[in-house]
Amino acid sequence: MKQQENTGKFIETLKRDNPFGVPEGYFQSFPDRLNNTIEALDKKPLTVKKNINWLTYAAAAALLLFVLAGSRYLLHYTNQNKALTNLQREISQEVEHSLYSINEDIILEVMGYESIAGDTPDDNKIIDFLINDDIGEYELMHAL
Amino acid sequence: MGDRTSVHTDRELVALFRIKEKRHYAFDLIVKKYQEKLYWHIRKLLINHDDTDDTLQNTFVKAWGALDGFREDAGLYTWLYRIATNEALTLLNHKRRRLMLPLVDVEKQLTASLETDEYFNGDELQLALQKALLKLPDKQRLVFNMKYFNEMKYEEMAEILETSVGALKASYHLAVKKIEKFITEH
Repeated sequence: MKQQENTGKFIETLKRDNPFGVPEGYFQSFPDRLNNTIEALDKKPLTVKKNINWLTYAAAAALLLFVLAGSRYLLHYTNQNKALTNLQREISQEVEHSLYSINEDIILEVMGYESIAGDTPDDNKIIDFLINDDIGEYELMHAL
Repeated sequence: MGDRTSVHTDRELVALFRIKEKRHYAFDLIVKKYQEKLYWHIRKLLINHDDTDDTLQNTFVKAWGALDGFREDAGLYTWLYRIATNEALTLLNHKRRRLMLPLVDVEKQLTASLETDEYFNGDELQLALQKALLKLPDKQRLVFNMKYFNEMKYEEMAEILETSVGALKASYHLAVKKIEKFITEH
């Protein structure tokens, strides 16, 4: 066996056969399905800016102003209090919660996300982008 | 698979891809050459077929977009594996963030998915092994799968995962111990 010496005996007794299966004909049809996806993406290069209109901006701005005003108010009246930490946490949660309701296109545009041809800004990509660039809710608030 | 894919080396396929008129043809060969390996690699991490299918598509779509700039510092196979791994781990992280659930809940979800999966053909022991694997942190599970099921060399794994051989050996050893403990206790 190629295993390490200290590999447990039990593991070695198990069958290494792949226990998973796929729908019939899956691998035969996959290249064609993929090709269709790629061709569709090549034909329709998406840009993030396309979907943004002024109403979305206004809604996001109003929401953020509300959250910011609330945050400032709470911070101002509690900064000498030991409960400050808890309030900050609540504010942070509120801000974070609010960010979930903002159109992702705006977040992407404000943070400088560059769309490439066929790159649809779905949730996965946004989360990746925010994580990879280490962008937290405060950076977003600041930028917005 | 057969045939045309085995005629070309990875370097030849990449070179072919860079010829504008041949890029679709070359990419089709690349997909046919690696789709199964990558599928199984992803499937063992994500368990569910539909998630695996989506992630495999994303992997190749990213590869399609980035292959022109591929510098060939690593082999094509290593590069594709790396994209697939990142895509799969990203999906798992995304699920956790989206659901706002602690680790154990996503793990429960995956276990439930395993138990009801119409495409799971393993026996009871294999099911127990998969359940034990779901108790491990993602990266330990990844290392175990690559070593145990794919019988990859540590050096090869180190290149794909961009980590040291020592760390991988330690990770694999830990994974085995945890799996054995889980199985003997259940």
